[in-house]
Amino acid sequence: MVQIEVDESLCKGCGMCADVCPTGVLEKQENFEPTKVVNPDDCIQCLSCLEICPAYAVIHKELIPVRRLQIETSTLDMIKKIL
Amino acid sequence: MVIKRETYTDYEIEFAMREKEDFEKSMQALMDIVGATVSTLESVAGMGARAMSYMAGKNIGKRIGRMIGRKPDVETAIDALTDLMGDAWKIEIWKPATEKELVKKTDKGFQCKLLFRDCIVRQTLEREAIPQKGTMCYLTNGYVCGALEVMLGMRGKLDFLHSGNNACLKDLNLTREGV
Ligand code: SF4
Ligand code: SF4
Repeated sequence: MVQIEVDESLCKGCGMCADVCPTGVLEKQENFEPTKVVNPDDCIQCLSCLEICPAYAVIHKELIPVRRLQIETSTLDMIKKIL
Repeated sequence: MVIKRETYTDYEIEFAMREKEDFEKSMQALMDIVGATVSTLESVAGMGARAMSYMAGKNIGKRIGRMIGRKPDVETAIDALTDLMGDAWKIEIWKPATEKELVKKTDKGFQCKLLFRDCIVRQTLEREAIPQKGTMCYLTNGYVCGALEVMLGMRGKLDFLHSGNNACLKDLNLTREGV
């Protein structure tokens, strides 16, 4: 299961990660204190917090990245010709 | 596709892998065509494109639902749909850790949250630099909803709760009203 951490030495306490999190995993603190992980079990691994964090302070461990089909350049070239 | 070493010959394994590669290539081609079509549709029809694609998705989904056949409950229906969609989509029913039931009973039917992990549409959008929650996402919602409606014999509605780069969360409501 995914483990989520906020690196306190990097976190600016802006709370953007908590705002964007759909399942209440993160909680913004008063006076720009580092954000706390309050509900780790509900992380759906959407990575929205990771994307929005300006300080690169959110860390996910044991994350399952979604499958990405490889880009076949020859197929793309063919399609571009047709289009 | 599950390949077990002990039951298949090397030739069969190679053939299966080639088939899988062909499937991936066709999917990639399809993704590019759909991506280009949808961005054109959005620029012509604006917000109406979403409703149109939701309905179009529902029609395709209903055909898929008929192909799969009737299922006794939401869990089995989602599993059957995910199995059929292979590598293109991976959908799970999700609930917060504090809640007891995956699928809740409502006055008129059922409600649950669907977590879309692998999603070929998300990949397409990423590749074509199209934002999420647009026409193609509505097409997907319609598709899944249409398939579930037929499999369960209920009316459905699938709405966005959240869209992320690695997963999307959606709210599914199924009712027996108007069936
Ligand atoms: S977005 Fe980053 S910097 Fe801002 S509170 Fe969250 S972890 Fe800290
Ligand atoms: S990955 Fe998504 S669900 Fe998990 S903490 Fe970040 S925003 Fe919340």
